[in-house]
Amino acid sequence: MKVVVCIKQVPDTGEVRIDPETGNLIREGVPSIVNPDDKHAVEEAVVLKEKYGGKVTVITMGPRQADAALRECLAMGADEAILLSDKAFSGADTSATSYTLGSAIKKLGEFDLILCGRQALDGNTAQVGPQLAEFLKVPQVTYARKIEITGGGLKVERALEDGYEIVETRLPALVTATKDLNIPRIPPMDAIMDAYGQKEIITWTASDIDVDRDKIGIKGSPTRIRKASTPVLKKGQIEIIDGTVEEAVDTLVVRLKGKQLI
Amino acid sequence: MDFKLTPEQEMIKKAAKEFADREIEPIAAQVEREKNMPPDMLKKFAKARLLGMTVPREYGGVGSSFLNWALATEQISYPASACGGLMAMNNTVPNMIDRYGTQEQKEKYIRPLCQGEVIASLAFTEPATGADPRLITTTAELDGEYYRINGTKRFITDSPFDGPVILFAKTNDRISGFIVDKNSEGYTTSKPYELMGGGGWVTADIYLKEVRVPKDNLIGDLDNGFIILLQWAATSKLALCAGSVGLAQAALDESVRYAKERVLRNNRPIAATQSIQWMLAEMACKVEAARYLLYWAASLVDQGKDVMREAAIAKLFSSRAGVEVADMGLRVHGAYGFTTEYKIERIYRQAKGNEVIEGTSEVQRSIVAGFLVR
Repeated sequence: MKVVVCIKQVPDTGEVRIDPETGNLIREGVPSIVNPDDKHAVEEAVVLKEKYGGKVTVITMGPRQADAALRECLAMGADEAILLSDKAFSGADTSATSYTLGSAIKKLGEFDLILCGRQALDGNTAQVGPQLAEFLKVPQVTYARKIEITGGGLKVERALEDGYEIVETRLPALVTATKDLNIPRIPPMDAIMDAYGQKEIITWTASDIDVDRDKIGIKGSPTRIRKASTPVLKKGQIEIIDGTVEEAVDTLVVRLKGKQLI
Repeated sequence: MDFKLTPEQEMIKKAAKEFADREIEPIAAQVEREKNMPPDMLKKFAKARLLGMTVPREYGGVGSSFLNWALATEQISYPASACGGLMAMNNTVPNMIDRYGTQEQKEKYIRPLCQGEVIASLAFTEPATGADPRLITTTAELDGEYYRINGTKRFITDSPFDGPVILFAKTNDRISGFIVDKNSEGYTTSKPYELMGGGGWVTADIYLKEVRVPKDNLIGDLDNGFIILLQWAATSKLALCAGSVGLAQAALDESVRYAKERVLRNNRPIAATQSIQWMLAEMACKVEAARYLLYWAASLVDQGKDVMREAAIAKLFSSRAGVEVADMGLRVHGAYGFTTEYKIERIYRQAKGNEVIEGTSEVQRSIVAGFLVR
């Protein structure tokens, strides 16, 4: 089974600063991690490989520093890692990103399954997976909480707000992973050393993949960020309601009703 | 001189921290309270490849640097010193067997230790030795194809559990090291000592009565066990040092968190007061200084240097720093720090152990002074 996992390196905090001119995130000085949902995608890919054999290729688009994120995936058990890195890719929105990732996956050749994280910690759009599936013309199942390989296809439990639905699809397909899919393994010490000492990161620039230059990077991104800001958290007031438990509950119910919360 | 960890070292540290957060932190309070290490902890260490870290892969080890091992031990000791202690045994003993053992000994003993199937021990201390190997009274007498070992060993970590113990005994008025299976006939242990802190850390006396050990289980050269002992002392001190740094960092983190949360009547956190800030700053200085002494000594081992002096310096400083940082941390917590509700209480007790285990601070001072005035 040939599985491709798309990952993103994201800043490890909700306190990121934003460039006031471009509206983009300033990544310098903020520790970077593999996007949490993407780790569930990597784990699932490695589990499938362990069960059915095959190969796991991890791919990301990003600056050279994304090397660390790819090596973490190699340490988790991925076989191959590809970094799409080129100034021409920078400033890409989700559309240009999925076009670029899709073009690279086309270059990789045939695949059975593409796994992506549900959404990224920084952008929170949840768009790249679905757009990638459209670009590659394969069926997609988003918000997976369980994946099962059936004869020639997939059976996926897809998380909904109030339950789940079971979706069956043929392969190749694209699935986006939620945190309920699995518990990502912690890379063992020897695998970490091998990820740095034995394995190579393959770097592809725009010239290495067949892309239309007008569809990548900021040039290929129809999205324009007008303004980006961190929501200001208002500190709540704590109030202790006096009286017996029964009295306090009655008072609380009245207050909550007054605020139209119940 | 570059004080920056490499990306590989950063990931080793991060993965060990994730392991500690996921597998140890949730049970740390219970392990301390019930003085009981979960039996599957060693297997979990093995799965994470945290055992035999510095031993070559051909024997089942990880083939890592000492610095990587120190980074990992620091993180594993952060939530509970006993976990760092357990991890230390199946790292330092395989390291000694790799360094001084015969091919057969390496193949027989190292892999089960790396796989967490058995627990290693090392037995030097006796009721009357203190830190002086010349005072060893346990004897090993050659009897055909066997050595007959008789004597008593004191405070031997993990001595009641199955596995190999590197044991030092007197031969020809000098000392030699032997690998003894802990389930040998004539090998018994006392009830484990009740310890002030570090619950789950098991240490007991060993009684050896006519224990027959095959001749082939001599480790290193006959009458030359002192060399092994010195090497062991240096690496085990680094493990203790890493444990002290981990605990001191935990004390600092707990204190900073508490100081930010604890609010005074004027609605300001105590972290805004100068008296608390001074303590936190001083704690941070000690933690960083101890940490870099550890990394320095571990890096020297990786360069093939003899670190008797450096390990003594690092152990002396870091174990004291651990106690002082925990003490200041308790003061930051005020009366709450004296209750078992807060982690600082158990850190305080655990930190004290590192000052007396693997040679007291006074022994470390003598070693360091020996280099100054010899």
